[in-house]
Formats: sequence, C-alpha cells, structure tokens
Amino acid sequence: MANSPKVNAELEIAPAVIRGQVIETDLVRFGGRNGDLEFLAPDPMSILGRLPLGNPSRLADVYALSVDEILDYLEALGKALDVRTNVHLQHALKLTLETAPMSESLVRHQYSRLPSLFLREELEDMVSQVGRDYLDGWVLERTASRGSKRYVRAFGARALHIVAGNTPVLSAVTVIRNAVARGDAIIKAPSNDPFTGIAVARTMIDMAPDHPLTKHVSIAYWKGGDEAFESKLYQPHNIEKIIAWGGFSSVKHVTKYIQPGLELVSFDPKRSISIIGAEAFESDAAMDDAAQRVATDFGANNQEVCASARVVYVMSGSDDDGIAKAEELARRAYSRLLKLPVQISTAPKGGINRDLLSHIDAASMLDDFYTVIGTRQGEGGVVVSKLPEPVDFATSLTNRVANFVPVDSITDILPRVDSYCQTIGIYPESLVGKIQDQLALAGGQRLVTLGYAGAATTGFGSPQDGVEPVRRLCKWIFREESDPAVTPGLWEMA
Amino acid sequence: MAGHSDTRDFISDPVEYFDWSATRLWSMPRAEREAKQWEGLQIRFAELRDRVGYLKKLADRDGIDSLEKIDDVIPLLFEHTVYKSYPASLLEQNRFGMINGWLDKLTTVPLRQIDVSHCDSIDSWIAVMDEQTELCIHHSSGTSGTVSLFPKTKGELSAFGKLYPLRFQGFGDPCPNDVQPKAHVVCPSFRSGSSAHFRINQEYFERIAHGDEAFMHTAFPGHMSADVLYLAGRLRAAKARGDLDRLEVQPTLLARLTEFEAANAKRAEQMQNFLEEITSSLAGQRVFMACAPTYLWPLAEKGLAKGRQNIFAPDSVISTGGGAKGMVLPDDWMERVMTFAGVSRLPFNYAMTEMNANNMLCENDHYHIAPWIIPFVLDPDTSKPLARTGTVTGRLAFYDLLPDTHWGGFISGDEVTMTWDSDCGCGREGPFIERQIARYSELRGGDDKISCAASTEAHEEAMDYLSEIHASATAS
Repeated sequence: MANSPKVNAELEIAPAVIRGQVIETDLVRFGGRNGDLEFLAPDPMSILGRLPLGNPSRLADVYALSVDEILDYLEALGKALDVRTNVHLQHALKLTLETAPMSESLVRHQYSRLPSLFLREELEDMVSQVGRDYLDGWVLERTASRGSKRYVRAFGARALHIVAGNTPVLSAVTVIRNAVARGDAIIKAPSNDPFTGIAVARTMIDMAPDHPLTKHVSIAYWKGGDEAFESKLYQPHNIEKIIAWGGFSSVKHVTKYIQPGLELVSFDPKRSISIIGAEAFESDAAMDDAAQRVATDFGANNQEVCASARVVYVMSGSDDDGIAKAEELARRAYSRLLKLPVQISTAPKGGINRDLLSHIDAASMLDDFYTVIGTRQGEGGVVVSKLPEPVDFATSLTNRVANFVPVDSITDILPRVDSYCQTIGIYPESLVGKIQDQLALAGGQRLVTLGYAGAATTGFGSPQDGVEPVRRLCKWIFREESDPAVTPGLWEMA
Repeated sequence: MAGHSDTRDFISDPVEYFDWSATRLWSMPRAEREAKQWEGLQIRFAELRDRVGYLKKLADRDGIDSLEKIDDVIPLLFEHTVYKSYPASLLEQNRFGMINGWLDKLTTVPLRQIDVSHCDSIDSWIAVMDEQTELCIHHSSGTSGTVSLFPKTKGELSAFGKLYPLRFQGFGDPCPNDVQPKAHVVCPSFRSGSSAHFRINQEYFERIAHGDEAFMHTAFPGHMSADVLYLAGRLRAAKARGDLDRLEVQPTLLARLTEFEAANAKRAEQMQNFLEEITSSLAGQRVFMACAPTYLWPLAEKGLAKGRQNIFAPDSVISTGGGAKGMVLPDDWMERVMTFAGVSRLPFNYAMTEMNANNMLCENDHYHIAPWIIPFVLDPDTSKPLARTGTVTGRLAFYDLLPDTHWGGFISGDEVTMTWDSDCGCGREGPFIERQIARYSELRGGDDKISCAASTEAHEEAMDYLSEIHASATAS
C-alpha cells in the first residue's frame, strides 16, 4: 500500500507506462524503508482500469506482423538502448545505482550490455525456442493413419510479469520474450529496480509510438501483496498467465488467485553450486586454473544472482590431507577474487550482510570445524568446512562469500542437490559427462563449465529453471482437419 | 541495614546484595550503579578473558587486553548465533563429545573429560551434563531446525531464581519479614524440561512452593523432551523442503513424536480446562503464576462474563510478559485480568534466556533495566554504539554481570527505544525501554525487492508458509 496520498516533495517519479502512454498523475509515495530510495508512482488504483488489455482479440494487431517484422523492431530497439545516447536510460541508470544491490561498475556494465541482447542472432535464438513456423502460422504436425490432419500454432497470451530486480537486464529480457511470443505484457516493476523497465518502455514510445509492439507493453509499480489492487487485476478476464520471478512476498499472494484460466509460471528463487573434481589437485597449474574459475563463479555479479555459486564442493577428500588441499584452493580462489575485473566483480556495495557476518565471525572462532579466509574487510571470502557438509548458514551466503566443502566423491554431493539448485559449475570438463544425468535427476537445472556461471554464454534463448520460458508464454492452439471422404465420421460408427 | 559495598557480592548474587528488597534493587543511585557496573565489568573481563575459549580467541584477534571505557567491551559482545554455531549435524548424529568440545569454549566449566559416548539422545546427554557438571544447559525450542545451547550453571540459575519471590513486593513497599512467602505455583506447561521455560520451574518449586509438590500445579505432568521438540522442528523444515525421505530418524523417537503430536492436538483445550479448574480449586489461596497474555486474557474474559472476580488471595502474584501472538487484546486487558484475579498489580517482564534479570514494566509503560545489566544500544547494521544519553532507538545489546562461568556480553535481535538519563516518573532508577519492542528479523522482512537468488529470509518465509499450509491441511 502507498504510504500517503498526494505529495509535493522533490522525489523521483517512476511513471506508469500503459500501452504507449506515460502516466505521471495521482502520484503517491513508495519505498523509503530501511534507507531505501523513496519515489513517487501513480496510485495503483488510479490505473487499474487501464492496465488490462480487456478483450484478448485486441492482440490481432501483432498478428498482422511477421516474425521478421517483429525482429526488425527489436533490433532497432536494441540500437536505441545505448546508454551513451539514450536519455531515459541515463536517468534510470543514475537512480538504479541507488536501488540496485550491485555496485556501480557492475550496474554500468549491465546497462552497457543491453544492446547485445537485441542482436539478430540472439533474437533468432529466442525464436527458435518456439520454432519460427509455429510463430508465423499453423504448422501441419501430423497426418493420422485415419487421415485427419493436426495443425498447431503458438499464440501470445495476456501475461503479468513479476520481474526480479537484482539485475537490470531482466526487464529488457521480458520485453523481448513478450514480443517474440506476440503477447500482451503487464510488467510489475520491482522495488529494487523500478526505473530500468520504464526507460525501456519509454524508448519504445520514442521510437515507434503507435507500433503494436509498443502498445502491448505496460509497466507500473505497486507494492507486491497489495491485496486490494492485485485481487482485482489478477483475474482470468484480465490475464491468462502470471510469470513470477522469485520475490516470495509477491508470489505467496499470487497463488491464491490461480484458478482455471489463470496459470502461474514460477521462476523460483534459486541458489547455485560448483563442483571441483580431484583433477584440480593434479598439478599446481590445475589448482590455479580451478581457483581462478571458481572465484569467478562466486564473484561474478557480486554473487547477487541465482546463478552465483555459493557452496563449492571440492573432491579433495575429507581427511586432513583433503581439508588442507581444499584450504589451499580456497586461499588461491580468494586472491583471484580480489583481482577480478571491476565490471564483473567488486567489493560488495554495503560490505557483508550483518547476519551473515555474525555467522562467519562465529565460524572463524571455531577452528575445529571451519577455516575462514578473508571477509574481515567486507570484501568477501571463503569459509572452508572441515566436516564434509555445507555450513548451516549456507542459505545466507551472499556478498562474495563462498563455502568450500571437501568431500570424497560425487555420492557425498548428490544428496545436497535439490530443486533449489539452479546452476552447477563443474571442473574439469571431463567430469561433466560422468555426472550430468545424476545432477539433473537430483534437481540441478543448468550445468556449465566452471568459471562461466555468471554469463549466459549461449544467450537468453536457453531453458531457464527447467522450463523453456518463451514456449511457456505461448498458448498452444491446434486444429484438427478431418475430411469425411477420408476419415470416417463418428456418426458412421457401427 | 546498610547494603554490602563489595562489587563482587553485587554481581554474583544481586538479590542478596539488595537484602531481598525490590524497592532497594530498583533504587540504586546512578553514580553508584555506574561505578559498580564498571568495576563489575572489569572483574568479569579479568576472570573470563582467558578462560572462555571463544572470548579469548575474539579478544586475541582484536588485541583487546584491557577495557579503558565501557564501550570497549562492544566488539566482544556475542551475537546470538554464537550459541548455535556448532555444526547442526553433530546434534542429528548424536556426536555429543564434539558438542561438548564446542561448548567447552563457551564456559569455564570443564567439559572435555565428561564421558558422553553412550548418549544416544539430547535428553540423555543433558541428563549426564546435569548430573556430572555444574551446568544446567538451557536449550532453545529449535523451531527453525537449529537449537541454541546456552551454558548456564546451577549457581547462576539459583541466583537468578531469587528474583521471582521479589514479585510479591510492590516498588516502594518496605521489605517484608517473609521475603519468600509460600504460595501455590501455577505453571501452564510441563513440570520439567531443559529449555529456559522449564528450567525455571525448579526455582519456583524451591523458592515459592517451598519444595512442596502439593503446591505445584502444572497443566501437563511430566517432562518436555528436547529430542521431541528438536525433531518436530526438523520435520517441519524437511516437509517444507520436500525432502522428508532424506531425514534419518530413529523409529523410537518418531513414535514419541507421533504420541506428542497426538497429545498436542488436545492441549489447547486441556490448558483452558486446567486454568479454569485452578480458578476453582485455588480460589482464595495465595498463588504465583507466570503466564502468557494469550492464556491470561481468555481466562479472565470468560470468568468475568460469568460474573466471577477477585478469585485469588490479594497477595497473589499474577505476572506475564511477551507478545499476544496474533491475539487481539483489548486496551484494558491488564486491568480486567487484575479484576478477575483480585490482584492490584500485573508484573510484566521483558527478558531473554541470555539475560539473568527480570526487567519489569512500570506504571508508565517503561521496562526498567536491572542494575547488574549494562545495556548498550547499537546501530542495527554496523553494531557501533549509539549515544548513552537522551533517548535513542537501535539494537539492544548488554553485558549481564551475574554469570561467572560464561561471558555475559550479548547482542539481541530486538529494536528498542532506550532513555538513558531522564526521570521516568515512577520512582525507579536507571535507564528504561519503551514498551514497544520490535524484532529486526520482522522489521526487515517482507519488503518488495524481487530477486532470482534465494535469500535465507525468502527461504525461511517460504518454509513457514508451507508448514502453515501443512498444519492447516492436517488439522482439518
């Protein structure tokens, strides 16, 4: 809920953008808790009537476009999203530096990446997830032995996107996915990134104010869990799908609106791990290599994203000798962490979270159980377990603090992998083939070469958290064509 | 009679030091209090600096060998996480030797020689520790799946327990001849157990019931098992995670849990019956009852509706503390409980297991801090001290001077508003805290930052939510 109606203070405005229109009226105050940025946004109730598309047939305008025309639009949008020249992005960047959990150089790097998401090659990859033919028309999939033909086409849906705000590229990814699926998107801006998505939507208006794709993106801020507002918006006559990224307080409330006609696609909050095989200890060079890579996996994006490694299983053996090896690897990883490029990783914005630090402090006093490397300057570090199990505070690991766990074999690791576990960075590559199926069955969702967890090296056209997001955005419609001359009618059954 | 002047007497047995007078205890002049606190802190630091292993390591690391001023102790205050910093798997796997090795660093009581190799449960371990050491370990309820283990000694518990008879005195009253009057003790819980909640029953038994079991009235006879409590917490967590089949539980323990949960379903009703029964069987008697508002208020409400009031003898003690846990209490609930019970006061206490003091609410809605507790108010994020003058809001921390075998410095999770130097108006000396106290864990949760990375808060919130769903599904 908004704190107070109508204010005149000199606060930044997060306007609502609804179908090509920028709305900056009926402003109320949001945020401002625990030192967060306070900002103004339109009173959600004042825009409630205009947010939903209403009649789903109004999506017909995007069906007048071919896939190529859609990609042309997105490609042009990508060129316009150049933070060096785009004033909306420049303004949003300035504010996002305050709201984002990441440090300045990382946020700047994320902003500078925006155009790369819109390269033709990347867009084509996203299209291929669904299949270009299915997006452009009805595809003959099967002719049954009795003669009937099945045609399938992917249709866009009216979807609400509750996007995560821990990295600013996610609103742009949502815009791309929505355009490719030919959907109508209402994006709920997150309080940790209320401005980036708005800047993208405003750029669309500047570029092509009356274009159907511009008119099928709306973005607004309201406080997640605002029941008076959400219970009216989250109805099957307004939207068909809710795509929820994390944010338990948002998703918890969403579940009560799910009903026939309204589907939830949930990208649950995730954690990630790394696995380092015994080969890392075969030579000094191998150990250095593994140390560099694992430091990158828990250092990249300042460990603020789901793909960031937190617990690192080291197959060094769990005896004293194994523990010593894991400690040496941890020391090397720590020194590499401090030398990562500033656009990849820096000292955490606000040091190490206080609660996590209290656990680390306790661990640092208990040398029977743990060795703590670094963390004293708020820079990040490593807690090495001396028992073959993660620390009890593993779910709190953030701000570039990893937990190295020496283990004897993969069988010690598998029971720790569950559906919360997204990315698994593995070293060396030769180990991957031996364990990939086991990891997937246990719950892991993305297996990567150690060192690359923090980069979507093959783009956003990949599956995510066990689903293919663009396919899930679509409604899969089919028709069956039967000619009584070929396919006997049911009425002819004897 | 003049009080003792010796600081050591003050810190080791404050009730004796104040000659069992509640009025004297709460009237210690500021200059004297601060001098004694400073001396007391020096004594404790000198005694414990090198004898509590964990403290020694911390002080060595920070190079703290002496205290020049009161704030110098702040880097040495223990976070709440310290008392649950052992690897949780040790408890799951009954590795009590290693737990003792850990606990040994938090107390001067020697533990490494105690043979606990045969202990196959938390209860059996605590029984050995009770029998063979000075400790009476206080464990937490472990609802989150981890249990804190607090190394209090029997001596410390006893010195602390002396505070309870003082509740029979009003502030300003002359000290009565009988400072430990015998009364019927009403415990709306189990007779015994090893969490703080149950450990104190033994003090009630000795000091208030005068060792007379006929004067002990408990809702549920018997012992609250630490193993059952702990397992219930672990099962809740595992169910919420969906990996119940990864949990290894001894069948005997599981049977006890099933029994406990079956009994639990009837407990709320039994509790109300017990309390109503007490209001008949102990009518007109002097009683001592320390009970949550969630029990007291419904009892009074029902009784008053039937026209019953002044149930107990007027020199009874009905005391309470803590929150209403979701129950909506009317503004005048305390007055109405007093009318029902027939008492003129309703002592309201703010305390925690880690603090050997009762900090009582006065008529001006201020919790006054007992004089052997040195309070600190810290910046909630940086733990840097806030001013010790005026009124400040921040995280409560303290040094409790009473314990002589463990370090009394502790940082709480509570947000308090402390007034250091103004007169409250009730006559009591010392700094005081506003009635409104919040938990930082609740203040910080529930905001609208959406992240694809699972934070521990989100995880715990999700688990709480799922276990609620589970609880409501199984209850219906």
